[in-house]
Amino acid sequence: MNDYIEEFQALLGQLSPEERDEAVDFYREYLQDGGYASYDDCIRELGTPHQLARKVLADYSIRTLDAPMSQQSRQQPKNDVKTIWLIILALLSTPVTIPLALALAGVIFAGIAVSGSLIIAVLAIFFAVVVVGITGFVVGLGTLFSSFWTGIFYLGMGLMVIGVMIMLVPVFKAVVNGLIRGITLFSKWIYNKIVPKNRAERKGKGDQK
Amino acid sequence: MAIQISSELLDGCVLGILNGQDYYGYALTQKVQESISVSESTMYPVLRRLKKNDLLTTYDEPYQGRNRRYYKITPEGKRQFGIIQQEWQEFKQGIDNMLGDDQNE
Repeated sequence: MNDYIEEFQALLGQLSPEERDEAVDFYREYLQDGGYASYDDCIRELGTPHQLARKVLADYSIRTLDAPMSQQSRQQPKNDVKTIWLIILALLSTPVTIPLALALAGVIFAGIAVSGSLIIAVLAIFFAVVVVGITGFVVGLGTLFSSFWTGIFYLGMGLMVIGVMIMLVPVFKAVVNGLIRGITLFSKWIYNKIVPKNRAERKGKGDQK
Repeated sequence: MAIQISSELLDGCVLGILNGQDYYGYALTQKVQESISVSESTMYPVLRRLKKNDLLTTYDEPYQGRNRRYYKITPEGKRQFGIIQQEWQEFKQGIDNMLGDDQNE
């Protein structure tokens, strides 16, 4: 049992020491009270340390996502990306559902791919317009001496475009973050749909053994 | 079983059990499993959530040279339990209207 707990503890590295100790204490007590002495007994009761740890971690991330935005809006995208991975891992952690999980992971990956391309497209637009602005500015400088008014015109256009784009930076940021968040909520939705099913199936399988 | 319990209901069930007496983790899990099918790894997140929302508190009691963590419902937890109970009654009524036994064809 100690091996099991140690392995489980090592897998919770991403949590704060406090959170980790709490989870470890809970499951140690649980296994002691249930009299699950051997490593195999523990696995039969709670799944492998990997599965258990992934469930705990996935639950943590989903909880964080549900928490009020204000507390953690700063590092949202990073958390979101982590959540997506943890959810995929959690789905993969149950042998029975691996085929199902693979299909779902495929769907999630497709979603990520689509959103990823959208993000790239948004960035490309942004940079293209900035380049146009800079070009306008440079062309304006060049023409300034041969034809003063045309030069001024290009100069002004270039500066204006660059200015507008700089003002729009938060908008682009919001769009990209929104896309990432969209994928996360989608994965979360799938996770919520699927995980209860896992439990039932796992239960059934456990009984057969 | 195809019908799955929602986390709100699970909260309610745990609060309901703790409303009667305090329990430690393993016994509480067993108690819940007497009535419904939940996986062993479901209880920890539930208890953590309830504790975080101050619906229950914990205290440790020594047992055979180690500590057992007991879970105790708070006044706020009792209030919440009442709300869930009432919501469940309404929900149950609604479902019974559609598939209850007095609706034999």
